[in-house]
Amino acid sequence: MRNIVINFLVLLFSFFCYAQKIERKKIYIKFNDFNLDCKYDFELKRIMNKKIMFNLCGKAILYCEKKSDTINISKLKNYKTVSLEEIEKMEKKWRIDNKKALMKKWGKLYPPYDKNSIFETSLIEIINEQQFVIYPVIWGGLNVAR
Amino acid sequence: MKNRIKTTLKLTLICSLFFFLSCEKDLYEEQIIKQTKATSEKISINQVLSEISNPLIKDYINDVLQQELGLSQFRTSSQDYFNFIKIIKQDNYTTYSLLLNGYSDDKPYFKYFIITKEGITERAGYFKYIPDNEELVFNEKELNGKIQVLDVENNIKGETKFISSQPQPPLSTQSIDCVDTFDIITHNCTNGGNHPPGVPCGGGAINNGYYEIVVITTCTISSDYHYIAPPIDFMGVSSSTGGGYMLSQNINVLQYIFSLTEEQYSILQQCPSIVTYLENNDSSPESKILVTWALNSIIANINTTNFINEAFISLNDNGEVDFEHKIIIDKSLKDNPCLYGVYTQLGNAPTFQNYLQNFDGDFSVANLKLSADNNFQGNQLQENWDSQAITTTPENYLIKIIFNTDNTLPSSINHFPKIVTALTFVHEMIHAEIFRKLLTCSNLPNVNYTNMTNAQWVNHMNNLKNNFPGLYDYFVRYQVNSSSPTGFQHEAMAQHYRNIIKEALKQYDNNQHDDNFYETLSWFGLKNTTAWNNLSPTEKATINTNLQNIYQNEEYCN
Repeated sequence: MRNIVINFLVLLFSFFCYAQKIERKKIYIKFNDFNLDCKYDFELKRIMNKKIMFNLCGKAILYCEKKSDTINISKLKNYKTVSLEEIEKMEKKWRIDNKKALMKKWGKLYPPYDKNSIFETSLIEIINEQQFVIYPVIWGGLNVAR
Repeated sequence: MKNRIKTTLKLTLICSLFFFLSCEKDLYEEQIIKQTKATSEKISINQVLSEISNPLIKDYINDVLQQELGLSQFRTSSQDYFNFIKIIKQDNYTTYSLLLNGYSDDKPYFKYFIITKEGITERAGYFKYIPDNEELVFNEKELNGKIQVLDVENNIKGETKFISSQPQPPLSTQSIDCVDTFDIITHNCTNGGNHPPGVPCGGGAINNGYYEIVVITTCTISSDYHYIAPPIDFMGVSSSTGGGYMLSQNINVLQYIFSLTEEQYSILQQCPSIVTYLENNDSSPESKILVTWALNSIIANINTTNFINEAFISLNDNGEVDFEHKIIIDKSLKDNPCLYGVYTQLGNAPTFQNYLQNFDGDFSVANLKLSADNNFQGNQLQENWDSQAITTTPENYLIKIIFNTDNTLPSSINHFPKIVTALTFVHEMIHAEIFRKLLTCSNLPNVNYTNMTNAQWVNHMNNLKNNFPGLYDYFVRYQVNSSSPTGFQHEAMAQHYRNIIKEALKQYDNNQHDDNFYETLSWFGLKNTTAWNNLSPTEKATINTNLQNIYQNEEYCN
């Protein structure tokens, strides 16, 4: 009985520790969706110096500065993509779910977390019938004043 | 009586040593260590002194060479910056070389001070290459001129002529004490293919081939006790392997670069825009004064590096820079007559700053870059498309204000009266000022909260609380713990900065209107703040109507 109690406490403690960890959520966005539906004239994909800028039809601007991976299309089903609307909902939920952990880490006044600190974002671009590319990206234009 | 002693003097000039297919610097350096037959590094004069033991050479460096360097125009900083190139050729010999003179109109030759070490034998002297025609860089593959080996008293100990890097028969002017033969040995790449230096290897391998210039000299050594033997082995280093002479091909620019201290030179290497600026101006006296000032500014405060680099990028692109007030006017803004006209009418940076300092003594317009974006829609988020301008958070201490001049958008500043343009300048300058205050509190080059450590965050908040308690209050209420992290600036502005906006606009247009006019304008861009929401519906409606009247009655650019 005593062992069970100890094990239970250990288990609770593990859960507590796990709950306190602030983790970025991995998300995938499908670039082709924006490419198809965008009514604006501007370029949605541009190479700028050493990075690639992806403009999701004005709704988001993402930059890839790291190495991308080209993968066989058969693997595409392994990646669940999300829409920008879903990302907004996920962001709100993340803030609620992580409030205690944030306060534990930073104190009562914790810094503003933006999408780059909440999500580990990758952009998926289907480049032909056989292949797609995954770009690790960061969100741009987040903290501007206007 | 003189003793004839046969001395073998090998002058080994390792050139073209490092031809690489990879552009990765780290890989480059790693490959030098692993694959080449010789390794090189930069070391200070003090390190050289600690590595050699010949007291005559040490005395010569301390008493003669350093004095010469001190008098030289092109080495003016402390001795720590006199860097030798140290080359170790496997277990064979070690050479220390210091470039004393690059090619110039006044001194049309390359001259190195050389120390060689083979076992316990250490020797010193000079190597001199006098090209037949003007040569900006030392190109070992195309030597056309005279090569001399001199002792420390500048007596020629070996000399020959080279045509297309082929040594010619000895010259008659050669010292009677010595008879020389010169030869160039090509060491092919050993990483596969047996290529000569400079020819790319297959499969991404590094070409480790090099040229070695060998001088065999038979000398009669004088018994003069002042005499230090010429270097027994000498390896110089090609300009293409470092040392900086490739920064420019413009001889006037190169002459200027040679005149820099090592400290100034290392800054220049990080700012290619400055070299371009010198080239664009053919190193004119004015450009040299500006560049020297800029380099010294960076030395005094390394945080200004990014601003100065950006400033020269703008200058090269026909932009304008107020270095005193640290404000960059990008060509895109300068070429927009409306924006530039309003900026000028506002009195440029100093008057602008004075306006704002009347209300806040700390106010600064420093480290700002002003630009205009004709493709605002394509470059900015949709949520900003209704803005006349945006201000970015500081990156590397630089804050950017970007005006929306995209005529496809109704919000383009081009579609508003000039007074609104002036207002937008002031509005964005206040954003920039708030960012600047946050920056000073962070003690970092940016205010990127995502990357802050716990200690940095605590430090930032404490500094904000102690130095800017009013701003701290708004920051705590509207920014921290928030999902909309930039709203606090408008909240603070609506409550506390509208007077600055009104007074600045009054000064801009010589107080041509009544207070209502300026009051109305001061709310521009600040709706949906708490202060705005606290206005009565009648007050809000009046302001909106007045604003429409301003749009109808005020002067436009076009």
